[in-house]
Amino acid sequence: MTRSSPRLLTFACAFLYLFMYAPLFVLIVFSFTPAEYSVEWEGFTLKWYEAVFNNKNIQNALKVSLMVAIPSVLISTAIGTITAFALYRYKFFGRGMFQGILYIPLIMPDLVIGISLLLFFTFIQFDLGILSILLAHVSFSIPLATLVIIARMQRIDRSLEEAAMDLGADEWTTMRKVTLPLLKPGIVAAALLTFPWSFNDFVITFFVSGVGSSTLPLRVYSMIRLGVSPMINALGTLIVLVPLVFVIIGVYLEKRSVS
Amino acid sequence: MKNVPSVELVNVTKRFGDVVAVDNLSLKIKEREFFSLLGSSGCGKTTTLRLIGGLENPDSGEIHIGGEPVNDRPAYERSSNIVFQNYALFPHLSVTDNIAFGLRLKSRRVPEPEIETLVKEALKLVHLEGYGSRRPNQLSGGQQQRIALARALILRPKVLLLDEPLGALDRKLRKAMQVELRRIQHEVGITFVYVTHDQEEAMSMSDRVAVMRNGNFEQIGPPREIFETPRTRFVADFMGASNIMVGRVLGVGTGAADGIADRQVQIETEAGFTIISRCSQPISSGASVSFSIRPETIQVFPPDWEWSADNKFDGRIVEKVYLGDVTEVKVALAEKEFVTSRIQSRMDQKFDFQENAPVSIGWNAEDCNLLSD
Repeated sequence: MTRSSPRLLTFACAFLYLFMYAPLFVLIVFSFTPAEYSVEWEGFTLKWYEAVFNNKNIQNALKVSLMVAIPSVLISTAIGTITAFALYRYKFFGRGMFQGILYIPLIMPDLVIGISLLLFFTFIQFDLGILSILLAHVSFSIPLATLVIIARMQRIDRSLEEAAMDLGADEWTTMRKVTLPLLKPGIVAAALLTFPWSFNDFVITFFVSGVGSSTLPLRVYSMIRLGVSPMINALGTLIVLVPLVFVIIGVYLEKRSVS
Repeated sequence: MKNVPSVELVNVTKRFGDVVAVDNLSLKIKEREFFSLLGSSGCGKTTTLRLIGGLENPDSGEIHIGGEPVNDRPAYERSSNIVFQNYALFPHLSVTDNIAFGLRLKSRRVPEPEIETLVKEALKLVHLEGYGSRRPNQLSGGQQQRIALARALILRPKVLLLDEPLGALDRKLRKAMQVELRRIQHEVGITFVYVTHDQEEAMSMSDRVAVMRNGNFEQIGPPREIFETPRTRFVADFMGASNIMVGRVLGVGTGAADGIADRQVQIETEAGFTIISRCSQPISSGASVSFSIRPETIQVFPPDWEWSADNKFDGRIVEKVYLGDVTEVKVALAEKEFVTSRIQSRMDQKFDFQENAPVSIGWNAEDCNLLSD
């Protein structure tokens, strides 16, 4: 180790973080200035936030987003827990294959998922609307939820469940009194990680939403098409910060469950 | 009912894929017995324990607990309880809730005030009064160990199964817990089946020991019998009898005037030494045999010392290892014939033995133990 390498590392890190967060920082800063068309600082204001909160369209979009995200989190976490149980606990033909298949939606382009879901809904003549968005979100959230919960499950000592059975608890009681309480941090982390997945999604939602059922990202997109208003900056700031809080809590819980 | 074995295995076999973990075992463990399964890792001792506890199902054979067949009963319906190697305390529950876990299950219907009393008694039994509200991770290894014991004992099982329960403890604590376990066993008066790889531990605690190898029993008997008269080379080796010799029977004692006493045999070793050994089994002249001699029964003296032994030879010290209260002395009788003796360190000091020095070495026929393989 030479003396210069820590300095080089510091520089590289600083550059990396600047690269990642400078644009976001610009967005946040300009959401607080009254200038409508220029990108110059002209003093502090909260008027764009006021505009966001008074905008009926945004309010509706937020409502749609939450109506999708909350059930999507609940359903995908529940299914994820059950899937994790099946994949981790039981040996059956093709188990490895099923576990491998879980990763595919995580690397598949959203565009492909979106188009295929649209085709599928059209094929089975399913009306596009909040329900189709919800189904789409559940389908791409399940793999993430399952993988997070499996990761937690792998850390649970099998002998704890054996001990419960040995002490007289049948399979169901063992799951209720030992496995689920130990799995709880994993389940909570899965919920907190799938929430922003659903809340932030644009591409897939774009394909499967019908007329009049715009989520927040879709609404922002249609607003930009009419010209970038600083109100978008304010809305963007809110959209970044709210899910970020969820992710931070999720990561914290996941970390705490390790120790 | 008196003679019903507490645990009985009849021709029990368990395979994992191609590996036969437990191979056609039959065994009877008596009521209130402290029975140890002793062997190195992979010998099938833990699998045997898990089969009794119902955490594994046998491929064939029958398992009885208290005279009842339990093959079809899952672990949660058996009157046996396990103390796990890693304790397996529930990290999300307090000590009290851990101990009360079994009693609180609906199937047992124990009223809550009674549970409270029983948990208190259990904590007292393992000397951990006042620890009830702690979490398992706030306890030391030895304390966790005792909580695991209390959690299993509170259910009053017919058999307590212990899987290397002292393996993770340091030497001093292990000694203390050995005494503690024996005390608890006497106090609660139930059968203990104890799995260990530590022969000293098995010796000091057990009423009977089964030495296991490759899923089979090599020898079953009281500790003294296994220690002093190991039947096979493996058991002799495992019990630390480091002198194992091979030879051919020259003559069998008949009590007649052939110079060999009754119940003794004369053996010629591979290197050509003639040795007198005790022999209780029928054997014929010319048969090839192996025998073991415990190192502490072999005596070493200076070459001109006046003393007598059934087998006495001249040798040369090749190696000396100081072990504290005893010193291990390896002596060459011939080019390739070595015996290792363990003498009191103060004897070594008195005679001032040096490496390469000539010595007189010997042992009695009584301390020669013929092996059956």
